[in-house]
Amino acid sequence: MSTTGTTSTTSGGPAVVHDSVRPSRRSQRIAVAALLGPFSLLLVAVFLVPVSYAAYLSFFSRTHTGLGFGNGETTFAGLRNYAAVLADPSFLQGVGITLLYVAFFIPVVVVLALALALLMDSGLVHLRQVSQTILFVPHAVPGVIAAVIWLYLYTPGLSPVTAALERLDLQINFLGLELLVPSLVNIALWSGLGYTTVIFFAALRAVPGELLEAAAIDGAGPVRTALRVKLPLIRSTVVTVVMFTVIGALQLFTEPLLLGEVTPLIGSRFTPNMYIFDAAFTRNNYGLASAASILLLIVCCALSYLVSRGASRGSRRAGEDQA
Amino acid sequence: MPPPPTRAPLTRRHVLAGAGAAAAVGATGACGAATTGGADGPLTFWSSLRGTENVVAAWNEARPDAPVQFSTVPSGGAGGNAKLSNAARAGNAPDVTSMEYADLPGFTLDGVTTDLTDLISPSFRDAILPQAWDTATFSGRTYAVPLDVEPMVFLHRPDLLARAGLDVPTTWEEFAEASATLKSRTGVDLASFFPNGWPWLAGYAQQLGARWFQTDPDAGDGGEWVVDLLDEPTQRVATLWQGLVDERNVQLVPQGSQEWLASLANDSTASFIVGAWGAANLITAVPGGAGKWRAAPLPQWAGQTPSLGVQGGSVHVITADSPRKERAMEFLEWMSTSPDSAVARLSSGTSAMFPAAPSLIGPAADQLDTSYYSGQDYYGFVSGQSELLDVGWLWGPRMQATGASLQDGLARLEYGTTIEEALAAAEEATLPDLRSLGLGVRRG
Repeated sequence: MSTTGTTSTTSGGPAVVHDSVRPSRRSQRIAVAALLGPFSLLLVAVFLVPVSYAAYLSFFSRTHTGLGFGNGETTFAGLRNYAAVLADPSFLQGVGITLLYVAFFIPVVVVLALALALLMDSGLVHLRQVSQTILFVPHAVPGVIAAVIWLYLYTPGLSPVTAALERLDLQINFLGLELLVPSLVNIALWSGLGYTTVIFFAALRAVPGELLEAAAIDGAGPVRTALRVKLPLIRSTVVTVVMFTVIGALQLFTEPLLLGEVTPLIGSRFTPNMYIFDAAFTRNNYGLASAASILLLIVCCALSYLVSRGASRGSRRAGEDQA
Repeated sequence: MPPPPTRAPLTRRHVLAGAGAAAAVGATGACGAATTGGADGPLTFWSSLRGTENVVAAWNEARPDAPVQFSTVPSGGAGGNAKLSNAARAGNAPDVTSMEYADLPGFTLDGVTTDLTDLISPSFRDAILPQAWDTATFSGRTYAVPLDVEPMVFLHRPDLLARAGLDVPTTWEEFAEASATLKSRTGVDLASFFPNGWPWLAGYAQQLGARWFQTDPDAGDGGEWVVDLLDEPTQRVATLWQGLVDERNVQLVPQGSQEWLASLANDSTASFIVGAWGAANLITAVPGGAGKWRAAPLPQWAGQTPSLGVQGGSVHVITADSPRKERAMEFLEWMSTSPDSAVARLSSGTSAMFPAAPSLIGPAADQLDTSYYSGQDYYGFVSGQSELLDVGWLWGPRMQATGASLQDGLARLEYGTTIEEALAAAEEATLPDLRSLGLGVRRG
């Protein structure tokens, strides 16, 4: 590479060598542009532009005065739409239901996936490839199809499961008030568990063998090794997964929308995302829908930030512990 | 040019959106004219109402000089409303479309409909029931042409009542007593309460003079909507039905469900309270009931002037961007007042709508096979009932959303939520929506 001893070159290709640092910087720039270009383009096209447009719609929306007949025009609405969303009990209820769902789903999926990944990693599980594939397959099923499958299994009078339970004298309504959220969690668990397990398992594979040997020499059994050595080492992976799962859960839409076809307990504003859909397409109120979207986006960003900050702090602490 | 396929409006909308939303609203007028073939092109018409294709065929045969191009669309709640909103935004709405009375205020606020006041001739105005015009008129301007009005009627099984020694109840007090007697003596439900049927609850409330939505033109800056889903009449209605539901003297079942239809077919429910249109639906839905059913007046409230609420009913509107308004008006007048139109619409026997034009009652009556009701003069009966129709009821600016919120609450009746709580929650969920549109709003 460079005879002048510049440290760089990310371009990968054989750089043309000159006796100054400039060309190397230029190639660096080209490399940066080449590598970041597609990402930036997509970011602008599918994220920044729609978000800006939504923000615009939330501030400039169709405004009426008085009774509103024949006097609608698009004007600056200030924070009116935001105030309306935050004052809407149906939106807040949707947020509450989503939080309940998250509180159910996240611990269950993380604990189960960790347990399965540790089991596989410990070598206790035979046919690891096969069991991994079996676990992963539901993730390949699109969410809509998964919801339809479960819809069939949940619907009383249609489902072989409820029929079988009835023969055992058990009356269980999976779509009743008490089991509604657990039923939704179950669908998400079915499709998401394998995926999460595979991610955890991959992280566990990266744990250095020397550490595990050292732990064994120090007399740690498999359980202690799992809990005190492996888990702390894949902590950042766990945090990342939790973050993505929380963000995914906040956008709950497809499953409740489909289950809503068979249970009236799921209304058209059951989750924040459904509220947004309903505001735009039933109530024809794009300003309200945009304001709710922006609020959801802010919450998601804030949560990501908090989780990742907690993660970096945590891993620093873990590092100090080890030192 | 044929009406655009379902997806086209979406694409157009996005293109327009990209060009700038502020300009979009203004731009739609020009687009509409361009995409639908100018003022001389055929009249485009969307409707979800049964039998409309026959009506259009009859018109096209009689008036080849003014052709109408018809498309069937889903009913409002099933996507028809969203389709119309999107088309109107994109500037390719049809010239004429049907909609429910309840959706008219919303579409009028959104600027989808045309003010028809000056297009309606005095003779046409006289041909239609004033109660019907009233529900299509806001702040003194008329925005739609009524097609039918649907006073609620009590379709019932005299044989099941007689088995418990009961007559048809004439007051709601008698109704409550009869439901208890019928249930305890024979196990039959006198009626059904539909948790998925907010228009029924609205109709019951309207009968007693409730006003869920009113306008106060002098308040605030240019008038205010007064929202009150829990006014005194509605509370009385809610208390009555809450009692019936709590004591399990009426059936709590979704309207249109298999469970409900089965209960009608196997003699375990003795009535179907519905707008006049429902008589034909019962014939198709429960064919085995032929000869057993009769129509009677809905019970009245003791001590009140007899009155009736509506359940259902449709209007036709001309869209704001239509370049063919005069021709459209001619077509609408024919649809609502011509016997040929009524015969074409009702000849298939799938509807028993009660025409808003009294002159059409005769032709309409001829199309209904009344053997199901033992030859009862059904249209004569409804005609008498229509004189009791309440005047002054106003639907809300986002009525389907209010209704959906109400149904979200009613769905929890079996888990202990009360009808009053459902009404209160629906009112709460309606206010932010209206405020975000900038409307003047206050609670009653």
